[in-house]
Amino acid sequence: MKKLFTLAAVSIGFLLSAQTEADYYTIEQVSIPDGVELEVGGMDFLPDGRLAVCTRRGEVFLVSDVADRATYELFARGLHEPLGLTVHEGDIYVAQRGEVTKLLDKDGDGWADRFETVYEIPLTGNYHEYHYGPLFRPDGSFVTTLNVGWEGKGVSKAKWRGWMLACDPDTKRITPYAVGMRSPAGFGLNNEGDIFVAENQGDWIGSGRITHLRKGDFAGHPAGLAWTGERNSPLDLEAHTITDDYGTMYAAKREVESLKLPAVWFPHGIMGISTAAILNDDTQGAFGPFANQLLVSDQGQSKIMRVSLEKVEGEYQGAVFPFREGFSSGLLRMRLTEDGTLYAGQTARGWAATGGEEFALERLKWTGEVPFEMYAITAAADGFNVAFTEPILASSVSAKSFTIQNFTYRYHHNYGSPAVDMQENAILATRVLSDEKTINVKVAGLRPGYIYEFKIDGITGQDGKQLLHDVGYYTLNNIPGGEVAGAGEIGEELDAGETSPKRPTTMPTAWNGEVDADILLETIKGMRYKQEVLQVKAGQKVRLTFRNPDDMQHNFVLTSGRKGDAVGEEAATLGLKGLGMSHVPEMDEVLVHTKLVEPETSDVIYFVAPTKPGVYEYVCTVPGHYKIMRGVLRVT
Amino acid sequence: MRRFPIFLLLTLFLCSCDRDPLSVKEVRIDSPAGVDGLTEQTISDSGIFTEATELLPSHENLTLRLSYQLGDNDGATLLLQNRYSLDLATFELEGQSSQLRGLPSRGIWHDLELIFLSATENVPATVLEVYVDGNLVHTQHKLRRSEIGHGPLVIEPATGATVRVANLRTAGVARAGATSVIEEDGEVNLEIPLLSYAAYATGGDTEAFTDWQKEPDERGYVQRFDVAALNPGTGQYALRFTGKLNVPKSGKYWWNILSPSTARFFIDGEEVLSHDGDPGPPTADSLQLAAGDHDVALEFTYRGGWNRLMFSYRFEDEKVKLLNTVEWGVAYGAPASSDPLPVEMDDRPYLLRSFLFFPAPRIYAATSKRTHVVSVGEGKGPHYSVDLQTGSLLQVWRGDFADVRDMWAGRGPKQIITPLGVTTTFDGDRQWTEDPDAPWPGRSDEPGEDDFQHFAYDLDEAGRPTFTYKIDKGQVSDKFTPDGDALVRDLRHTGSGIDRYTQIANAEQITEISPGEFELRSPGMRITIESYDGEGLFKQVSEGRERLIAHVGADGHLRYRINW
Repeated sequence: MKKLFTLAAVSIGFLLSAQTEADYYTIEQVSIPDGVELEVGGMDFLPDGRLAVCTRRGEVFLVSDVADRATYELFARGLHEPLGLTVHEGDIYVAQRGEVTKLLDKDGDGWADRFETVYEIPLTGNYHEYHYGPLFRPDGSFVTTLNVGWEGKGVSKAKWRGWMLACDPDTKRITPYAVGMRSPAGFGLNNEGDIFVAENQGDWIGSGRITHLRKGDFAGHPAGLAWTGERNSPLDLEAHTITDDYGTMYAAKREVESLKLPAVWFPHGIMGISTAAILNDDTQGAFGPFANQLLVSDQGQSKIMRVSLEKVEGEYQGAVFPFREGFSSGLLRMRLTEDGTLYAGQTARGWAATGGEEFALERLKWTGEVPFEMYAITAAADGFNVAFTEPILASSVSAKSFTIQNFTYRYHHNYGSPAVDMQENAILATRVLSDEKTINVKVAGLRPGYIYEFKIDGITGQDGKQLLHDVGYYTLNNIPGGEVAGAGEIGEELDAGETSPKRPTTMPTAWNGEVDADILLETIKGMRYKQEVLQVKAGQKVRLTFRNPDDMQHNFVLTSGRKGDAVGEEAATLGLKGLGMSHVPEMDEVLVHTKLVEPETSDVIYFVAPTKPGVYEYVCTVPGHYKIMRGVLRVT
Repeated sequence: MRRFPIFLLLTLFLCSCDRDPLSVKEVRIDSPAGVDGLTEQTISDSGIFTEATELLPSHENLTLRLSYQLGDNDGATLLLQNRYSLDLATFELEGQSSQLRGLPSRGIWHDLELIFLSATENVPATVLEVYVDGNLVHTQHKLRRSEIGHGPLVIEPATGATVRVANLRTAGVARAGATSVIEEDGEVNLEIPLLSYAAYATGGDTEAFTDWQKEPDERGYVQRFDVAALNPGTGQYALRFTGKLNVPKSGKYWWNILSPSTARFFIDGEEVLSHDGDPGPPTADSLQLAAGDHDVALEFTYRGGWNRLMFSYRFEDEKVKLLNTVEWGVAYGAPASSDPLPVEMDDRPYLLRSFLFFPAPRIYAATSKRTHVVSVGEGKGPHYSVDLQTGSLLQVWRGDFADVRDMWAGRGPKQIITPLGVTTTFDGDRQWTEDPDAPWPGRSDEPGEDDFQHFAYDLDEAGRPTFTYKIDKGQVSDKFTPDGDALVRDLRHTGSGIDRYTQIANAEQITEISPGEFELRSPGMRITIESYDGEGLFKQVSEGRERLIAHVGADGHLRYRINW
């Protein structure tokens, strides 16, 4: 009997180690001809099945036979960095920087010959003023979103920057719809036709997230509030009312009625670093068991995450799970065909992605096998219900199967936030419900306004299948049946980076105020160090100034040799604690490092150069950066 | 040959109009003249030269602006201090080739701007900047054959050649930037017109540098305290800037420095501010100053950290302003990329939307961007850029089309294109108005929110666009067709039910050569009306500027040719 158990355990272990995401969803390359730089900014299917793709270089290609040999025809070119393309009633609409444009081929020769401005938006000329969309709604109107500009912080110096605009394409009249966006690179409709917008970590944005927007909502970044005094603004909230004093968004919500809490937070570095497209699986099962859930792509981590939503107290909230990683470039855009093939349009120029390629077009197909996964998490008055894709082996479930902790993010003008006020939730009881697929988990210490990390261990399906992914994050804005306690007060911030022994920020007194080498290391936009080779003599006393004029956080981590990959990979596993540790893992391969340097600030460290001549790699360990953001210190 | 259709048209229109449509009615406009701070100089011989002639007596440092015109096959040389030659056809400076991509045509007027610094004991004669028609020709050019001495400014036509020169304006000091002024609102605006610098590589020394008597590693001239750009080596360094500051009003001035580096500021040899580089609020000090010129010096030691220097001042109770500072977040002109990424062209016109620095940026001068620009290129040109928010033609050029490195490499933070040829630039003001007697409207305060809206562009069989704009209740269209070296523009107006006026060009001087044919100076070009059904042309004349305008009826059109 014991032997049998062992055998079962071994085979289960084998199953666990053997199964991969590719067993359920396969990624295939769509060929791209030489000379076509398919830096996908947007894409959609034409009624005849061709895929229309716009690129960041301003071209529009029509791709025939995309499911097989894929042939490309240039339809238009010269648009200004279009970052969205939608086909509506057979016509192609693109969001260029300065306008939404309708492209028509009036003489039918396959080449766009009429470029019609649907509406024009003012711009200051700041590169960060990106424009996304359009997204058509069931009533025939569409919405677009407008990034804030970047001047060391998000700014709205041209009208409607930081807004979502709605437009009736027939009258071409625009209506400001919602505000508070920073870099809303993707948005989509759920099955009910409600709009969700994705947001990237940045100033005022603690971490990536998706937010449901109704007209008049304020999504959290205050720059766009500069325009609430305009005649047609749907809200009158003023920018000065948004300060760091609230502590968290949940606390701010009590005083700022129009502030919209994110439906789902995506913990930075774990559930991506730059959320992009939002796509509802409307294939009714053709794409697998997750019909009507949302798929959210991540540009920086070249992957897709999956979201289950529910409505509690009239507002959306829900959970995010890993879904499929391993795409080749920055996954910016997704489209699904009716037969259940997901097309993934990708670009990484200037915005590094773990996939490593500059651009790609790939398709993702369901193999027909159902993975054993957490299907959804929903809130209960005293805990959660965790539903699975397949019936659960009841005997594999116990309180020990779940590790749950909750945390939140600061709501402040700084760039991003570490996970703060982390608390464990004791598991009081677990019960498999009669559908055999759902476990009710009663937990202690339930508090609204926090994000709950679920880690699952040992639960198997009735057929012995192991979980493909064992983690999910549920955002609890409301507890069914009413509020319990607030998230107004937050505890100590994790900030190991400030006190790390490997970040010496004062000159050792023994140096008598003298350094041998004074090194300036800078970043450039595009996730790179400006100086990719630094040189010192062995044992020299070094002062290194790391200056970051980029618009995102970076650090400098000097490794003990050619250890950039090892340190970068380890940093990616830090999970929720990563940001609090400046993304610097505790390992011998790390020699010295700076703090996580905010955009347009600097950090100075002092260290003695290695005494052994050689090559010492340095990397930025912010998740997703180390692959391209690296250099070498030559010690001679 | 080209005249014939015009006379034919004229005959046709004379039958139906009260006024000869090609007659030009002059309208005086009270519009303030632009101030460049230069002094107009008298030009001998009516400005027509066939042999070497002195334009200015013996000069030292010189800031110069002039317009000139060479005959179709002619050449000429400008001799600075009668010694250093600038070829006005090839723009070779002492035999060194220029940065221009292509050469401007002869036979039309060109604008030359130049900043020259005489040789001193320490620094060779330097041509700091040369522009032709606003295009950068040379920058930071230290002359090899440098000699200390003076000499006149001489124009030397090639044998048998004729050169016309007009509008010679100079300042007897080299001025790379603006000078101090009292603004219209009475506020004092200080500016040091040129800075000399001495740069010292100091190795690993982190103490404030004091050995200013030592021979520096580099010397030169610069317009702003661009400390990061002037490091003579790769490590620690120190800089000493000197210049002349004109104080336009006596009174109390406060000086502020914000920098992580050490800096000391001197006026007339007296230290007025010492900044130790500590983080925290800027260091400030005040001094009573008399109106007039003062020698100023700034000593700077880079000691790690942010490599920046922000120098500000305040006069009495006025606003705090920056002095010769490289401002954060401001786009400055820079020499064109030596490594362009040209748009790949084929046999169809390339329509390219982008931002555009306009007017073309000058070195260290802050520049503004047009944000809704389309540039259209085919073959080797002519190419052109249009502002879709004003409907105006911004620039034309020939040669290669466009460098897109600033858009298509990395994140493309500038999002601009750079023409790969010598541009001729228009003023970019609005294309249409309703009142020919009022000062011409510039740009709307809020582009896109006036009654003028870009609506669409349609491509013809050759792939050339016609731009369509809504203008109030009516519509205007605009089409450009390259024809040889020229560009033909066809403007049409329909549906408004009212008459409108369109601008053809704004220049320093517009001369009618024959009915419907005009020669322009600054910018230099020829305009020929080819087809027109309006009631007449207007020339708005204001201080130093002239603008050619055409009446266009409620359903009217105008076609003209631009040669440059």
